[in-house]
Amino acid sequence: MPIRKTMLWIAVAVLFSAAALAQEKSPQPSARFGAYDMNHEGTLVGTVIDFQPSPTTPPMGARLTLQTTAGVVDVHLGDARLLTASHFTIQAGDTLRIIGAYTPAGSPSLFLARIVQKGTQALTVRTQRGFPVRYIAAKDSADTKSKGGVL
Amino acid sequence: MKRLLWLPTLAFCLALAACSGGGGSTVTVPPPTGGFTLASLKGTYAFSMSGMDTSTANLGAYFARTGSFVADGAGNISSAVEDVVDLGSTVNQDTLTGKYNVLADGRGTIVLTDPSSNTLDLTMDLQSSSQGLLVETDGKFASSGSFNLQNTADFLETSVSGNYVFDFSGVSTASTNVTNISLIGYIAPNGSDVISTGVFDTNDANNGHIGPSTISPGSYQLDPTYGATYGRGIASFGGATFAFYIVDSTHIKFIEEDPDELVGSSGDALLQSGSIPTTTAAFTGSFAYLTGGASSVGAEASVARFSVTGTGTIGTISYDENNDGTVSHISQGTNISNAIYAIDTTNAGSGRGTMTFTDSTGGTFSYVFYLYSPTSGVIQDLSTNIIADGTLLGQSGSPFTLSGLAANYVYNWNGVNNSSFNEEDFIAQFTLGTGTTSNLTGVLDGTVIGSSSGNSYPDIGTQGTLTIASDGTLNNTLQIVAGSPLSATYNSVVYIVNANTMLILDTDKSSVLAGIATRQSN
Repeated sequence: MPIRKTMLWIAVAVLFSAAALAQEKSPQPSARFGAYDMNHEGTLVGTVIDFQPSPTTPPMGARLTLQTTAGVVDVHLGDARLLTASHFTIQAGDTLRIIGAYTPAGSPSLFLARIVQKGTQALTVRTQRGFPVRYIAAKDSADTKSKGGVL
Repeated sequence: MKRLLWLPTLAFCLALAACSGGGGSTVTVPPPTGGFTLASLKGTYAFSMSGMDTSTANLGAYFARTGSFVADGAGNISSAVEDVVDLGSTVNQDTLTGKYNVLADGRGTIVLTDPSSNTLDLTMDLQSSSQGLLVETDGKFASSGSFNLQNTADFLETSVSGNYVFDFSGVSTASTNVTNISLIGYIAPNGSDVISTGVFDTNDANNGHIGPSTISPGSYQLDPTYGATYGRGIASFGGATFAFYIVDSTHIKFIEEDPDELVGSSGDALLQSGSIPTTTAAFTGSFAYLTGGASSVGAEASVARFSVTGTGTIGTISYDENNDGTVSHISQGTNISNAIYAIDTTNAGSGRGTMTFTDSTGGTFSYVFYLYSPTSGVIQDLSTNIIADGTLLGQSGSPFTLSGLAANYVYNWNGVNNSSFNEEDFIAQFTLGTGTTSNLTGVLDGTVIGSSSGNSYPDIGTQGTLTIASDGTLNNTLQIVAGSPLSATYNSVVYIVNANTMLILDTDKSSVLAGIATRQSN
């Protein structure tokens, strides 16, 4: 059975009906660094100020700076290869709608994106439990590369 | 991030990947010294490796191989068989032959060739004549693992009897998204084809932690073709199908081979022995553990130690973590609360236990573990937004000193580069001296996917310093400089288990890497 594709095209209506805007409360106080609290998901809408597919400061993974009506938000997207493989381009000036959750209090302020939408294109970058979707190239049943000893 | 940390087989889960800064180009490979020869590798060995497909078409796909080879002690692999799972393509099983060499320090190469002349290039580090480490160095896959001398007299179904604690890790594609998965528990084969019962805990990014779950009766049989020569068999339990290779009656290597290829996992199972604690009061001592896996921001690994006295409370906690490049340390103090543990009395005799503690800034840390001896086990991190597993070992022999630790070691570092999200696998051999600076010299071999210099890094000289703090029972530091063309500096914390074993976690922001160093003997 083929590996399920990590990119999901989600109906615009789903996103538009998703929870309200902007800043969500901090999750439970005992959450570890980077914890994703699905009970405190929210939606950001804003304009991309900067996009870094490979930042040099942790947490690593693709990140962008989003200007929202509530302020500037640092957004963590996960593996940039997911974006590339899904032909999901992001650049300064783009308007994005992002479903996700803020990291816990005490951690660096960061919004962990779960679904990113640009226009009518939406991409799931985290599971519902908040883990980055693991990038795997589309399964190649015609792969002929030697497995190093395997016929 | 991949796999489990499993000391007895010397295979780890994570590893060191990219590094902090350059430098090290003047570090040279020391001349090999020691007593290893071609004759050190003689007999039938079970091997297991896991990692990532590096091909453009299947980049990132989970990959594992488990098999058995016969070495003649004179440089020849007279025969071999292996099971290969590549979730990017197919499940394969094949026979091979090959050649090998061994240097005096235990380093060597193995080249296996199939009937179609496809080759598999491996570098090995012998820990002893009965076990060692492997890393693939042909650039086709980023994978590493271990091998163990098999007792061919145990290639019988009747030899597989008792409670075996296992730790399997890999990737699940069974739900909406591809995620890491960890499974730990025990199975109880009865010596006559039936796995009568078992208990396990699983954790993956789609479903979260589930467990303890009872394993319905399953089955196992030796392979009629390869069972007698290589100890190969097939087992079914917990809704999954596995190929297995018997190392001996106490140790079995598994690789999952479900027909639907929705889950790829592999790992080892060890026979429970000794007086396994059945009550909270019976679980006492100091322990160190190392886990690796994933968090909600990326790759994650941690190393720690704690002590328990049978009262149900945990003390003397020291904890270090690298969470996608964010490094943290926790020490015991008023910052720690709700530090408790319990042995599972509902599943009494399973070796299962749980523990948790809360740090005022770091959050709550929760684990489940299964003991295969009174002082050794496997451990799974159940904390919110963590999927990780590894090894739990009793700490003994303190105070630790450089003079007490000075020896030759082999180690396996593997993990994930935080920028590329690709896997990196290294194995290495080093000599630790008694000086307080520059007390480590050695050589490493490995694979770094997508690096500018190519995937393979053979024969990289290393120098470094292990600094022991106080009595050495808590967090010590290690810096290793790797020579050209890797040209990198790795900063790590080290938790010493005993005079033969160290748990190592890289604390650089550019990668999440971890591993276990074990003293050589020959």
